[in-house]
Amino acid sequence: MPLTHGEAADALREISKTERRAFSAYGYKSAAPFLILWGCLWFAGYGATDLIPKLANWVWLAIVVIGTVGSTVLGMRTGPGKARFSWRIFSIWLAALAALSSIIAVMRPVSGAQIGAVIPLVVGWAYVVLGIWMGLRFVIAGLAIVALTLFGFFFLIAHFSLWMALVGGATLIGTGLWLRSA
Amino acid sequence: MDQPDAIIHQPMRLKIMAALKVLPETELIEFVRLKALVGATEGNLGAHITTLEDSGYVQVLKDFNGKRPRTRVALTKQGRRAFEAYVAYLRDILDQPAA
Repeated sequence: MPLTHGEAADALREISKTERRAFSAYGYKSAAPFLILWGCLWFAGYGATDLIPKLANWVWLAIVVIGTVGSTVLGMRTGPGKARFSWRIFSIWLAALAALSSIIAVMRPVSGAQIGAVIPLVVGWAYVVLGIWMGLRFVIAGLAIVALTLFGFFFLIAHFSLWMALVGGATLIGTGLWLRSA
Repeated sequence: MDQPDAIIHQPMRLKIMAALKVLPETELIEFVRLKALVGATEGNLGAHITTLEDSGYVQVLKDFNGKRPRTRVALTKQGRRAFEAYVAYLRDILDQPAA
């Protein structure tokens, strides 16, 4: 028997609801290993910056290189189908690097802490925007990164790098584990 | 299509198909994850997956992840086409003036 208007509308609503839930779950699962990787890198980068601030530029250059290679490898391992280089992920990464570099070039931060705060703030807000599209957990993760960064910058500036290493790194790793369990 | 696809039209199978449709074409989803997504019990989901597999709409892959056995499911091309046709059928009904 053919369906009525009401039955067809109900079925389409159910499809839309399930697709939305599956889309979020797939996004969480895909993002989780990247967050864990970057949590470890933040821990290492900010930790080294706190211990040997004179070498901060070199430390972060190494972190960016390791992160680029690591993210590319993760994208190849966790992407759909056979492992292959993902131009999309690599391009997103290059765009993010270019965006952050241009913001820093224009704003000309006068201290290492300002650079150390601007990047997580941009990353945090990017997660909030992503979350509005893909799921609440990204919004919560983004807001946590932003709030912790601002707290460290305004109230713990003397120990900002150490704060970001311990709390920022742990937040990213914890969020990655939380997304993986979704 | 005058009649809805009876295989897909069943409410739980509709949810399963909708959840699988979101994944990229070659991506498989673990049985336990799918179970949580569609809110089914293990036995219920297993029975519906078997029906969909028998119809050629999904493929089931059983393997080991380390020492842990796992079952993964993906939509087949035939299943993807059937689901798209089913959604088009629903939209056609809504496009017609209400009786």
